[in-house]
Amino acid sequence: MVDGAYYASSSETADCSYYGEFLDANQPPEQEIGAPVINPGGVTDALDTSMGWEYVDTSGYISIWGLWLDADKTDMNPQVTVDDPTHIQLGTPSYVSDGQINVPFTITAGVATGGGSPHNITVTTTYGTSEPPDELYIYDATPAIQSVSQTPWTAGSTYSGVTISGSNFGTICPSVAISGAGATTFTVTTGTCTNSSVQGTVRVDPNATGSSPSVNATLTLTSGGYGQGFQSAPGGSSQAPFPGVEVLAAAPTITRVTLSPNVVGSNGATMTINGTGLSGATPYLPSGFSITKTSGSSTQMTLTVNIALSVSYGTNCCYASVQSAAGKSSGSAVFTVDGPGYLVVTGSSMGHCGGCSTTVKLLETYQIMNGVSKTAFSTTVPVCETPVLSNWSCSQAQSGMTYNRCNVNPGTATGGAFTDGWGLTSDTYTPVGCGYPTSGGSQGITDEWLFNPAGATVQWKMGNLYGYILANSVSINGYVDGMPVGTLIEP
Amino acid sequence: MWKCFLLVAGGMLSAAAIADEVPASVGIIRGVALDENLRPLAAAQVWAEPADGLLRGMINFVDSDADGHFSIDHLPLGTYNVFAKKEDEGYPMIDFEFYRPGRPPTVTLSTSKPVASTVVTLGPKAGTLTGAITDAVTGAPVGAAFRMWHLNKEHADLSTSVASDYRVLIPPDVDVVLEVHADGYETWYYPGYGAAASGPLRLRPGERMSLGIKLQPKLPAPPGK
Repeated sequence: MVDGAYYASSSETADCSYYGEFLDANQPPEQEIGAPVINPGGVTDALDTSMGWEYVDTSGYISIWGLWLDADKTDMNPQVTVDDPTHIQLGTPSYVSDGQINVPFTITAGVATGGGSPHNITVTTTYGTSEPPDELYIYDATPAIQSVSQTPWTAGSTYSGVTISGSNFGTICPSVAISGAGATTFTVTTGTCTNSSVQGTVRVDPNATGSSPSVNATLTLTSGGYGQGFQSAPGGSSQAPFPGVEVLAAAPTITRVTLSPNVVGSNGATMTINGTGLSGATPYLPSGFSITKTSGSSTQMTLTVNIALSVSYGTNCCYASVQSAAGKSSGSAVFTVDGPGYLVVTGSSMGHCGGCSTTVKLLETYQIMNGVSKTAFSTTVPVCETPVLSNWSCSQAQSGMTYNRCNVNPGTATGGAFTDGWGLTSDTYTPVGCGYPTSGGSQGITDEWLFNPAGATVQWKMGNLYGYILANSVSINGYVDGMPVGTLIEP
Repeated sequence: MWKCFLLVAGGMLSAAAIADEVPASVGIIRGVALDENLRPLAAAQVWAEPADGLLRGMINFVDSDADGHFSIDHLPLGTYNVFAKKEDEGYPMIDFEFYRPGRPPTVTLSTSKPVASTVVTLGPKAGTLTGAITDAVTGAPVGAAFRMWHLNKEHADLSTSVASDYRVLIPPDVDVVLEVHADGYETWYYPGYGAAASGPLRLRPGERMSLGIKLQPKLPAPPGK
């Protein structure tokens, strides 16, 4: 037993008698008030006391922990100072207890930041000044993105003026990267950067979605800090990821379609489709086209096609389109398919028939010509005619009419050529000069030749003929002795 | 392919009327094409024309096979002349009096005999006349028409349109008068301009002759004429 104060720990038991005051083990013995003391590490954020730092461009409260900070609550008039009052503005402390005061602050850009740049905090009361001062660290806050404008994006598109909004972007323009969408890029627009927003241009990779209708991209902003490089707080980061930016597959486009040869009846023709988003796309062609081979890239598709004779044809007659693997359809692109359009005379023979002294006949040979290219149509094809015969004037009954009827018994133009006969075949018919004359403005014969492909819904007109057949003379389209080679016969 | 016969006693024959005709039955002409030595002629073009009738429509050629055989199907019953040609080897169309005078033989298809056989003999080979027709002044090529006839038989004739680079077949061992005319040019007679020089052309079987023909442009008519 000793006389005086006894300090007992909480685990001890005492067997003693003491007639004095027991003091709390955590309370130092009462002594005189001295100069304020700041505990080591005794400057923290007021709300998160585990955080011994603050961030640039923020306001709030710091807490200072220590002793004799404001023991009598009013008379000590504590003042808190910092070594950079320009960028770290401290307000009047508020009392919490003698061991804690809270101080309002505002930290502006330009303050020295990072672990190598602590700022001294000093508390002064009427009893003196804390010594040594304690340290407050300033860091750059981790950036955060709240929104991105102009979404969703479409593959292959470019968007200017896209705004990323958020916080803590810094005063130096941040960089922005995009992942999950191929080679999609974000280019920051100079002069648009603030601590809370940045604008830029997004160029979306044409193949950003691959074969999927859409993908979710992640946009990551990396802060450049506030002029001293990004000074990350413990556990902080310079990067702000923003997942979930939807990128939609682009509809493929067609800029041009070529076909060679482009004539009906061509097998193994090459069709080239130029455009965008063509990788893996499915081409669609008019009825009568069959595709035997497909190859190409995202900008060009090459098809090997067979063109049926029954395909509708003409200048800008036909349309091609494609559908992407993601199910997006292009617009239609027009192209030309050529085919029989008119006839040209390639041979003409007229004379008396065998054994005939007065009766003549005419054989005209025609080449079918392509209507668009004006070249010979050299495929063997069915053709037909629609003759109308009038004004029969012979004494004998006429017999022996043969012709090739459309859709019934079309004839065959071998290599696109055929021979048409006009005349009588013996001297049987009288009087001399009888037959199918032109009379009273009525032609003895009118005849239209048509291209008659099987399966086609229509026949294609190739040429009109008119004239007369008499026993001793034949006229066709105004020529009495047959038409000159090269004469055009048009619908 | 099939064809229809029309039996109309004068007056108008309309397309509708033609379309309504349906053949009761059809027949076939089969045969063989032979050359002048009676050897099979392959790749000859053979066709049938109604005898004593109207020739109006496409000539539907069939090709003879390697043995000279041919078959012309779907012919309406009736009587036909059967012809052939192989012009690239010098065998012309024998359906003209110019190349083969006289009535051609006939083949008849009937209900009791819808299939008939025949032999078509070609030859001897014609002579071949080739060359270029040009403007005598400018040398420009000129398309023209040949009119040819047997010197002693004017209705054995043939008019044929040709391009500037021409090739025509001339019946062999026959004196042929050759006339060439084109719009805007003086008519040309073999062997050249000048009546005194005109004369028949005679080629042997298979003989080839090259002949350049220069046509004189017609002079414009004097003013006021």
